[in-house]
Amino acid sequence: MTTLNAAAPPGAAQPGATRTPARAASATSAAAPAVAADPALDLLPPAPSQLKAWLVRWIVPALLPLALLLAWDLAVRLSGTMLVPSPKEVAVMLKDFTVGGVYDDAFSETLGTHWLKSMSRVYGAFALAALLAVPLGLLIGKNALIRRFIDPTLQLLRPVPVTAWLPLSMIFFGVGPNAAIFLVCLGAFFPIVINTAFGVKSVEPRLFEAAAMLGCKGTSMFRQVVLPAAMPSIFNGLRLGHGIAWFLIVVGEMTGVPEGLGAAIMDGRMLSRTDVVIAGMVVIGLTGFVTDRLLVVLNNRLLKWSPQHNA
Amino acid sequence: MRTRRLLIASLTASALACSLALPAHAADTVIKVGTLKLIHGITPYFYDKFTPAGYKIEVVPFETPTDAKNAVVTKSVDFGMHGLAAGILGAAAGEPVVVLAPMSNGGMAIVVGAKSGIADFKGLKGKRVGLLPGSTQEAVFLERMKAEGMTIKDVKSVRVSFSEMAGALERGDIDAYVGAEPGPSISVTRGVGKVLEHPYSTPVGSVNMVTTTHADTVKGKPELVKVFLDIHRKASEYAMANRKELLAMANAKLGLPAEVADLAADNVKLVWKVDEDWLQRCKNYGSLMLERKQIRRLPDYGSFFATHLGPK
Repeated sequence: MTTLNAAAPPGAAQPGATRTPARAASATSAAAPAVAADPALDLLPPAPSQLKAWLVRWIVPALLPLALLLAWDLAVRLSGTMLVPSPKEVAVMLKDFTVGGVYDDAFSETLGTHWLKSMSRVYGAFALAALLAVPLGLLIGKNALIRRFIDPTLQLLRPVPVTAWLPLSMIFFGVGPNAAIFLVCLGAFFPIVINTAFGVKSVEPRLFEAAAMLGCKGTSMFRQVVLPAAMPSIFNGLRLGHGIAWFLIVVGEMTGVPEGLGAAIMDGRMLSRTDVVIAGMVVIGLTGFVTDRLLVVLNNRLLKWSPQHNA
Repeated sequence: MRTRRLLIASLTASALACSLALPAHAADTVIKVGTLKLIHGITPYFYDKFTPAGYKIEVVPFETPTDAKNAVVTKSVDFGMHGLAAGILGAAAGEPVVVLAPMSNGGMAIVVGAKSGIADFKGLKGKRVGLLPGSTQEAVFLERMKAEGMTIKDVKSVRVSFSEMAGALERGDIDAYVGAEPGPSISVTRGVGKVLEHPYSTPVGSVNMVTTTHADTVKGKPELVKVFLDIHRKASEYAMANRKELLAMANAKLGLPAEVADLAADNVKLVWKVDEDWLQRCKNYGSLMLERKQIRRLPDYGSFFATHLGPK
């Protein structure tokens, strides 16, 4: 498929020059100049050695989490608090949560079940939100009449915190997972629709003129100009929506849902099992991080023609 | 420049003057009391009547026993009223929660849908039962199941907070629930539920809510604890002796219609007196929770109960 380099800003490199192999974005071999992603490092005189590159790539990002872990451990030890478990206790709980064999209680060996349930709810609802929000955002961005028709309502609903919908969602969907799915879907919907509309609205009019001169019409204009130009904004919306989705699943699973990470966290809270609460938080954090990275990789693949948007 | 300096100087002077001019009488000692939004958590609303000069009561309502217990261990409130189960769960995990006295007994009921066709306890098998983890009701229900030769896996337990149980049953989200008053009375009054049983036949009996505080308060402020427990005794006796006032308070604080409050009050005893029977039942409770692996070790009863400060 030949894609017009639609959204390349004035002064950007020529299309041909920016066609990097897809692998380059995710190259992990130490031989590759892995740190080239950071323009600041390009300015360093002599080229960084392989060891330094490796250190910067793998060790530097791990420093802050390790320091935080250490601070947490020290804080628990020095204060002698019984309200917050130490990192070691949480690690033991994570092990018991995953494979069992330590405490043999209601939480042992249940992580898989909870994780799968939450994953299916979060990504089911997220996909549904994206399916509704992206086309709607494209429409709002493209068509002024539709924008006038829908946008005010959208802006009225947007400031209402999604958590405030919880009582209503229970009335609509009853006590159970459907209320959670509705909340996640609603929460992810707004950032996606608003970012998509913004992306479409901000396409440079000159691009349309240029494309029209090259014989681009109707649907191909949409596919070859509007969509690529709006793609960075759509991805921003997806990433924001994805973060909110994980945030809301805990709220959604608070009531009447027996399985799910949010449900496990709530049960842990109710039973004064703070180690379960933190273990659940760790799992959600890691899952959210990995899926966000996947979104970034997808973003880089789809936007590899754009030097600006390779995160 | 000079005007600005003058302005700042005069503002500072007037602020100082205002702070000095404030009435210089000593402020009352505020006693913060956390309780639950239940009819058997109503006693603190009567404390005002019996608070001696120099003290002021502030009542903070909570939705779940765990929240009230957490407010105690984080010193967000001075005293807490919540289920014994939440206290034992906290103390077993090493949290500094201390039981001072009983607060209320009863207030529990296993309610089934009026049209659910559940006729006896065994009829709950395979049904969706609303249950609040960490509540006294949960501990008692598990015990009742054991007595009937069942386990928690025989029912589909659904986590619902006390205030949502009656609504969930009405909507058909659950078939039954193990609730706290006024929930059961609301279901019965509306004709959507009937009481399957009041689960008081276990070794725990009808022991339910207790009065707790932070371990530091017992050590550092024994006088405050004594004053408070005396207020608690007078208010409990008053509320039990004046049914009309109790119903009026339930209406004012929980928004309960008289009919519901009347029914609910029949299932509740507001108490304050520590006796051997109550202490023994509390300890039975801990043993049952340990047996069921709800806790990993028993609380240290020596420090968990500080019942020596209350009126005899």
